[in-house]
Amino acid sequence: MILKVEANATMPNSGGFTAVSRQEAGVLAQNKVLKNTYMLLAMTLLFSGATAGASMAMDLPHPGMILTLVGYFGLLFLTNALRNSAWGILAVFALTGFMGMTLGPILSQYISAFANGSQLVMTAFGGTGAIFVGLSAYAVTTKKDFSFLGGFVVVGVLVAFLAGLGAAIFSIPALSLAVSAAFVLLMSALILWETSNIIHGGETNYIMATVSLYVAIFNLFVSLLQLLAAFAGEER
Amino acid sequence: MGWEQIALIGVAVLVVLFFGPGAKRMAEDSPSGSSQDWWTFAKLMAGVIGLILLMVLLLRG
Repeated sequence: MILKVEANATMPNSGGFTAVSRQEAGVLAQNKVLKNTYMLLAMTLLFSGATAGASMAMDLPHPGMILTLVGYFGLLFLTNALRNSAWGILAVFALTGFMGMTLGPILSQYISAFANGSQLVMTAFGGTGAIFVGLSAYAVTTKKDFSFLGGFVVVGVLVAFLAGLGAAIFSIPALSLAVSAAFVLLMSALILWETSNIIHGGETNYIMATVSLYVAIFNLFVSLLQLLAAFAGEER
Repeated sequence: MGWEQIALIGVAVLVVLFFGPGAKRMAEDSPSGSSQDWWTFAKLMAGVIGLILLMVLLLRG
């Protein structure tokens, strides 16, 4: 409202002031996207934590890689299709709830397979939080443009995903570990890129921004857990 | 080779067909950063790697 009045007041022969007001309006809009993204991200993380806890408490079996991928891509496409409507928020919760549900059995497996399983999970959790907060804070405070990471992240994720599938198909643990290491760096780059994208107005849809950051946090956590288990896990 | 492996190969082919062209376009359209930009990114990634090494050391006691 204040900005609108200011823009009207400076309208005649004061292009400079109008440009400043427009710039301020743009900054406010980007801040709003960032605020909404972080709010929805916090809620979806809590929700997926609850579904992960529930699936652990109920001792649900892992649905298997095929069902996980079908559910994940299906809900991702649904969220993308509904991103401009209120139903999009419901789709985000369905996606993150489903991902949390598939995470529960993985966590149970780590806790039962390793003597220090709980410690591994908590360290991976803390490490994920520290990396996310640190990189987001860097991107937000410096306002540095990380758009140059776009091609690197997209191609890198595609190659790493295919390598991960290859490791699962041919049962190659070393490749799986290398993919996890690559994913940690790629997801860190994704956090920088997406945050910078929101700040610079490249991403105006907070639903898609939330999905992107949620997927980065989820993959970062799972990859970090695998790395920590491989290098510091004490097998029972 | 079991049915699950065959299905996973199918998933890999679908992923390449669906996301391959978009990824290629994005890689071509993405701005190329300066050496200073990549250096900043490398330093941040070194920080991430350092944190992971610290976590491994802490877990190993």
